[in-house]
Amino acid sequence: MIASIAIKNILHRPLQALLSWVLLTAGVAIISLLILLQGQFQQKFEAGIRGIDLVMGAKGSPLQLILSSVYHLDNPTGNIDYAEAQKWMKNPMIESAIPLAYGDSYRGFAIVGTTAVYLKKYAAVVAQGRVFQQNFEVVVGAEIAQKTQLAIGSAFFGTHGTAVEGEEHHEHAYRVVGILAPNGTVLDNLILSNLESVWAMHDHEEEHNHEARDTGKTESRHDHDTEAHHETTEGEQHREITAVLFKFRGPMAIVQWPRMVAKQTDMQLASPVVEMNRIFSLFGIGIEALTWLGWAIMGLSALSVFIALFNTLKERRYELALLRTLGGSRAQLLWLLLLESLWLCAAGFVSGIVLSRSALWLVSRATEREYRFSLDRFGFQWPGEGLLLLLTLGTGLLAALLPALKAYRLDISKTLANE
Amino acid sequence: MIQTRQLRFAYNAQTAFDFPDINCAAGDTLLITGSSGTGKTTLLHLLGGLLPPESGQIEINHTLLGNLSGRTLDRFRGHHIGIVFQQAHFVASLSVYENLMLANWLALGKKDSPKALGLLERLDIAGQAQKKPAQLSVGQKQRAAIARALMNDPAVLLADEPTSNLDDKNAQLVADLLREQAQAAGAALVIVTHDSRLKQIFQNSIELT
Repeated sequence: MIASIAIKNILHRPLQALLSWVLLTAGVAIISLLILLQGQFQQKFEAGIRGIDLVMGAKGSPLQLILSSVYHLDNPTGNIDYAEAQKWMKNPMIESAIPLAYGDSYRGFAIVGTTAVYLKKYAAVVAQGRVFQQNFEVVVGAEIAQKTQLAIGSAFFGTHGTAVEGEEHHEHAYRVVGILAPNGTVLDNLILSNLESVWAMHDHEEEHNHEARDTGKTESRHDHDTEAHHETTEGEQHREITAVLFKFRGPMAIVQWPRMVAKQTDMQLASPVVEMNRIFSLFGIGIEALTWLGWAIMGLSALSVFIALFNTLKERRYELALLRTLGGSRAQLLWLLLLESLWLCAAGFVSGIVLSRSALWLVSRATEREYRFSLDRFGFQWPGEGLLLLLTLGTGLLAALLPALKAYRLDISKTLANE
Repeated sequence: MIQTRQLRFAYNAQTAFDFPDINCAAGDTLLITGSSGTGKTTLLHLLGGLLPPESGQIEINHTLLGNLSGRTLDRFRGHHIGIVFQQAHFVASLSVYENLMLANWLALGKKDSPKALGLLERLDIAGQAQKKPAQLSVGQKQRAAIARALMNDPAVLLADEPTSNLDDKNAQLVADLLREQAQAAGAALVIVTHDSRLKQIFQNSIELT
């Protein structure tokens, strides 16, 4: 009964209630959205890093190397020589070394040449078909299969580079031999083949270019000849890959290798943990600022609840005294005012949570479009949002405490004598 | 029924009241008159258990108010004492009907819907049951307040200046109404007023000086 009176009292002053509710909703939504984003980004990024101690790639920005080869969110820094990389990959200190070779894409999804170890690293399960064995056989990530309708036996041509609209390689078609079960990692958005497929495609491209040059410019003939000569003599040995993902047996190499590689080769070793920490500390400032903004709005909403209750207390003191003459207890008045605030806070929390999910959905659509990176955790976030609920209700209690105590201590005789 | 003995209340050393003993049986009416500053409202609050006396006893329905405190006093007040204030107060967010049910629930923890509807019928405001108190006329509000005061079949019905804002005709109507309803409910009716018109209507009266 007290609970329903509290609701009716809130609705009796709709504008005041609206203001408090909107403020609460905004505050909760901001904080909850940050909790959602932080949790998901961190989870996705940490899941990507797991089992990768260092990444080897062409010199350039280490962050770009990590973003491109671990998360597939950026363009590669360049290519490295496979033979050169293999010298390092065969070291006994290494537990696993996964080569990655980029070249083509299909409708914007990267086709990556690698080994079966890459699938094992992310604990991928082949839902249909089998893993690639022959050249030009590919395994397709779950999300791609869903979005492009590629199925076992489908054939498609890759596009050079990562652009959606690019030059197609019509010499060789890729054939889908397997589709992965969704596993929430980068694999969901990758097309995987063996390394040789990428190289074979690359060779064809070279030939293609040579032909074009043969018919076109004659003065470059000399250059071309030496280049062709170079290729044939080096033969199978001159292969390029984009990056190698290393996992070591002990911590020693993680410390020593980056300097060694930088000194002895024109490659670099980058640490995903270091680079991601750098990114998070950059994000961190913005996230912290937004968190403070969220709390400031929560503070404002608490103030608005407090002012609303305190103001109406003046005009409602007869009403409250009346409740006492009708048999209501002090505790019931206290409870009535606390509930009026708590209902508002609960309503604000629920709508804030709903709003943050809607915002997340919009953000997810954007990141999906731009980076093929979806945010899909819409569930209640423990313990972050549980804590937020407690804090919201705590704020409500705090805002109502003074008015509620005033109601509790109301002198009915004095109040009624002053009418 | 209601009975008092040697009731005394002091706001401070200068303002102290010694009240004459009061005795009003069920179905009877007692008028307490007096000009401003004679402690009328104070007496009403003492009788209603809203204010504890400095000394003396108040007995309602064979219970001494002085023996009750806190939650038990609140409950007792809600159950056995009906108060009609000079200005009718309601919970503004609830309908007239819900206000009556609230009185029932706060005192007895139950909701006697037929009783509320019957009282509103008897007081001729059944048509206003679902309206908010603010939508009622002054006369209708007063009737609603009387209906609410009778919701729990009180032993005593206290009325504070029920006619002060009314013309002769309406004052007579309200006085009759209070008497009828108190008698119908078997309650002792105590009216506190400075309105001399009521003295012609009610014979049994005490004047505070």
